Amino acid sequence: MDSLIRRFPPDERFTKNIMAVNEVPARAGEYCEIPSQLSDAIKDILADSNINKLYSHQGEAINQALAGCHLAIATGVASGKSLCYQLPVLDSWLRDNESRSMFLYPTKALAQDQKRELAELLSRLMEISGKPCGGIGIYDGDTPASQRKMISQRSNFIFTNPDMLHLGIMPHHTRWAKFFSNLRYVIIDEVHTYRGIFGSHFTNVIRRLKRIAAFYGSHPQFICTSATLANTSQFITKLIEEEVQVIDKDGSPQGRKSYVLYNPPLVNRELSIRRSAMLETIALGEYFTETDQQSIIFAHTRRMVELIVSYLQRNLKNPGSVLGYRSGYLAKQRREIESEMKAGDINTVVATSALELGIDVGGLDVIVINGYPGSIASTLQQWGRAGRTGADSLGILVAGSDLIDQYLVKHPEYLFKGIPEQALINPDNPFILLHQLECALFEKPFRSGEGFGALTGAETDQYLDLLQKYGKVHKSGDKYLWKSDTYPASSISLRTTGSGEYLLQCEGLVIGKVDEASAYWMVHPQAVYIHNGQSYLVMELDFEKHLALLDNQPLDYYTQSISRTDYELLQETGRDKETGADKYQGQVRVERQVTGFKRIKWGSQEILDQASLEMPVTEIITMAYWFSPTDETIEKLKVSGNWNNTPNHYGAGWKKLSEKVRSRDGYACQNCGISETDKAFHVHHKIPFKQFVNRYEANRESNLITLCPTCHRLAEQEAYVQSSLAGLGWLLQNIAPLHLMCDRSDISVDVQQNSNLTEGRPAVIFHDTVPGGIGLSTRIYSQHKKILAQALEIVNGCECSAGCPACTGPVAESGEGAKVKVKELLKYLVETDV
Amino acid sequence: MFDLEKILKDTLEDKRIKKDIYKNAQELTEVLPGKYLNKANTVYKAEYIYQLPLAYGSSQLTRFNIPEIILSWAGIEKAVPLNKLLFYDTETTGLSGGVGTWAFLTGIGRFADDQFIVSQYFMLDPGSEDEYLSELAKEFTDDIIPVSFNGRSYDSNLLNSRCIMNELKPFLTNQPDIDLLYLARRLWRKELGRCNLGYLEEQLLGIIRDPQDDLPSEDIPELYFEYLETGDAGLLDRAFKHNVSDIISMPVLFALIAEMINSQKPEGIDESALARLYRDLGYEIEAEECFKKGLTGNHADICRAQLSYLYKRQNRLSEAIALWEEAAESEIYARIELAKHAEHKSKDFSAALEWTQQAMKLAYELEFVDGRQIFELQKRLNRIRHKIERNIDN
Repeated sequence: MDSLIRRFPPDERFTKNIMAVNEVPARAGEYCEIPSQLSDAIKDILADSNINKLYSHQGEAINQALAGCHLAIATGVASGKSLCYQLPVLDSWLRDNESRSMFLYPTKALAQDQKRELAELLSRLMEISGKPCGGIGIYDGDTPASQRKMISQRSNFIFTNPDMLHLGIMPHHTRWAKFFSNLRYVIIDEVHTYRGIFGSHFTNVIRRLKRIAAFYGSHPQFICTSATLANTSQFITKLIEEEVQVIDKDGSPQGRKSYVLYNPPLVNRELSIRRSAMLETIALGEYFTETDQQSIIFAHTRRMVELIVSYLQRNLKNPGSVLGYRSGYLAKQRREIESEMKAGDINTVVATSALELGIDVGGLDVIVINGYPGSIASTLQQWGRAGRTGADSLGILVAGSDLIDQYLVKHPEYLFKGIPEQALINPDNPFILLHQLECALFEKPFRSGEGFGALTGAETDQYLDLLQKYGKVHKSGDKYLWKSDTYPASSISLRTTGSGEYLLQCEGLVIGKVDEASAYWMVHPQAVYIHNGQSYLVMELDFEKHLALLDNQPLDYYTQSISRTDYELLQETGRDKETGADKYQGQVRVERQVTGFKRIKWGSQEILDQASLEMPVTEIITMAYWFSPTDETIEKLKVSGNWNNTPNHYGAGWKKLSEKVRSRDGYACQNCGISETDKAFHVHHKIPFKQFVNRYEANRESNLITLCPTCHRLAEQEAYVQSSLAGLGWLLQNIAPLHLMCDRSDISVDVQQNSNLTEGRPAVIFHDTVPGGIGLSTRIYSQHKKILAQALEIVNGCECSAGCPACTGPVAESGEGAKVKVKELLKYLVETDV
Repeated sequence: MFDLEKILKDTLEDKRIKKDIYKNAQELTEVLPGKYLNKANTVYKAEYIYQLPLAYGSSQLTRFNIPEIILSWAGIEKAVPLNKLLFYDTETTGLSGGVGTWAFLTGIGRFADDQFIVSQYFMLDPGSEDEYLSELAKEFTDDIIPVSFNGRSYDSNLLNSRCIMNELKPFLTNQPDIDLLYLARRLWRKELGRCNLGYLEEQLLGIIRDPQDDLPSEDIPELYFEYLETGDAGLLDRAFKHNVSDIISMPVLFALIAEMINSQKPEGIDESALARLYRDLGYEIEAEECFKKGLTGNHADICRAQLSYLYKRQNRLSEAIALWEEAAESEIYARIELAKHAEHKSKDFSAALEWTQQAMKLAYELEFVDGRQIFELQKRLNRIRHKIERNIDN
């Protein structure tokens, strides 16, 4: 074991599970003078607090801000990012008492915290400068109606969130006339959270904000703070549609840091089952608590947090030193926890990601993350909580059994190189844009050719003309005016594209949520929903209340929904040749209906039974990417599909039964028509034997057919190709989110044997699940080869024998030997000379 | 670029209007005789002159004297000639609020000696809103007092907001105004429950609007949008009439209130409301008079209660006690007040105990058994018992 990992338990029971270690040497702080252009009053309060220098990035940010640049500050966790915008904002107020600034936070709790900080600085400035201030106002859903008018008219500093800006401020901007006329700065904190649909909407809200501010004669300067992203500059430029200076050279000092990827030991190699991540996390947590190393343990859900806390408390000598932390605590409670941590009264905090966003608990010795949090950015953010000034610290990721977790611990470069996700947005998604233009139009009439944000006049007018055609717009001369008695913002949520979410509720507690389309296949009635290793049975899916009622039950089976998906090509936007396949992209209409489900036994993967369901049809128009293996590839696959499958045991009466079927079929091949001569023909299962619950079902005469050896081989080859594709589909569905750095539910992968997107040829189809798309399919189209290479690497690296949930999927789903088949297929698609 | 319509067809709500059914569209000048005010013929004014007195429902529109108390309530210090009142009311494209709503029709009414003149400003095309608002602004000169029904929180905000949107100076700011809704609420909320204009007309002015000549406010936006598409002014006929009725109802209602105050005969209304208005504005002598008159009317109970509180505040305790004793038969407040008086002033704890028990008894007999009230009474009871015990101990 690397001697440098000082804080890790030395016991071999733990060290043998270390998959990778990354050591980051200590870094000295870089400092600079306090920028001379700052107002004297600000210099005075800094001096009063004995601050006579700043971190280099803070100095740079303040200088750039004072020079009028739009900024993105993307330095590390706890590097003093807030100060980078607080000082310029306060400076602008000192110079112009009427100036106004807006602070946007993704959550209400963050706004509360930050308001308190600004208020402290402001009160000292008021004292020194003797200038009166219109105050700081929080304007969100909780603001009492009686205070709203005063806040909108008088406050110099407004703390709010994007939803409130969209719904409560912009549509009433005349009440905020003074605010908009004097709008100097817009601060966007934690800007990396505005990705996907939320970010695409948010960009449009910013467009609206700038449009209205311009109407009142102001052009605010934007300062954003962000976690590090792969595309910080590009993303933020696209989000605020301004040229942005990125400040990411962190000048704050850091102690030595060690990062460890930890994989719970295998308990069943055949099925690739590992010891539970949670139990390993608890064992590690006990060690750190007992050795007095302050730590945070991050878990995915509140329930998991509670479980870990109760285990730890049960085993520890001093249970009071362990505390659970969840979102929803009031500011006061949070302050108490923070100070108790700082005082050392609490040794271990177990938290959900609520603690990840900007709550200050100071630096800690150890961070343990129980299961990959779903994004690299989150992982880095959580690890970033470790390390008080100068001291060394340790960050551990305990891998779960999911494909992504397992992939990451075997490919440490993803986390260690620290290259986080790209944040993707598509503000010009037609569904989002249409609704946002309605809001913009409500706020102020458009002139023909005016444009909207980065959208040209012609593009904008196309939407406005369409709205006019459908009677929602009145055109007068070259002006478009909103013509409806509705208030468009009230029916548009920034966080979705319209369809609602379903809450998953168990014993009165919400344990998660899924979007409407996913609800139908994930939590249909009687589905088994797996959540953090716990199985839940869906008791009821309430379409009206958008609620799935779950019951936490230990079950020895899981369910797999059966659905019918139809694609209709609306417009092809690209096609190209790749190794062994043709790839395409375009706009499609996707119609999907869940028609039933199978119950499958854990372990043996035996199908217990199958039931049908009546679920609503969902239909979306979105962007898709698909590829189709060439005839040559299929041919190669068929040829290699030799008869090496273990023979099925068809049952005692098989001989008699097959005789009966052959007799029924007149001893002739039902495909080509030739008759038996000396050797008996084969009897083939139309639906493969292994997909049945019991052999009586499989051996029903209607499922049996006489085929000559040649035709039988063809039929089996078809099945072989089919099962290769199914396994590949499973694999791609699982790695696409990692590859694209998106949420699992943002992209969907289907496999079709006779796809009408490819004129009846087999196809693997990816589509954005957000109507209109947020650019995921397009990205994957351009990285076709890369994702398939990654897929092959996963199959090659997996320790299971015939396929498991961490590679090509459970055997029952993809068929026996899917792993071999998928490997084969991938080889033809990745390697040029096979 | 994609075929947007194909993609968005299902998302777009189709609000198109079939124009071919409007072959016989009516011209604005036929429906509403008046004149265009701008070159583009998009801002229009119609005027109606009514000779006074004008019969209106069971009431009539006549000149009246504005009672001092109303001016004082509205924060106006000097007397105002009737001709300086400017009654106004807007018809808008939506009731949900927000800057996407326009006022396309504004009615203005004013007294001119023995006449009442109603002017209607109509915007044929929202593209000319700036000209429309500029014309309106000419009516709202500095020396007038705007009178509205809910204008304080709705019409004035909307018009001001429209001015800001058109880069014009808002014209309904910083001047005292009279909002009849606020006044009506003070006077009749108890008696009538709701105070929307239609209901007040029905209850107080004896007017039931003829559906032929009127329509619900919420139907108006759709008709205006339809007019914009088709140019058929006939669609708006009832909206124009509706607006005129609103304008005339305001001075009639105002006159009724004035008459009531001036003559000190608060007939047909809750006398206590008028008395409370006096009281709240510091006219305690008038208030007392008014409450006393009410003691024989339909609202005797309320008047007695309010009068007793007025006495209590003025420290005229024996008069207050007399009223409470009168009311104690059926009123819980009276029993509680007597209990309080016995406990805190006369220190007669056994009387206090007796009245509290009586109050408690009544609290349980009421139709609505108020848990909080009973809880409060129980606390009082315990406290008094405690005091009695302590007295005995001493």
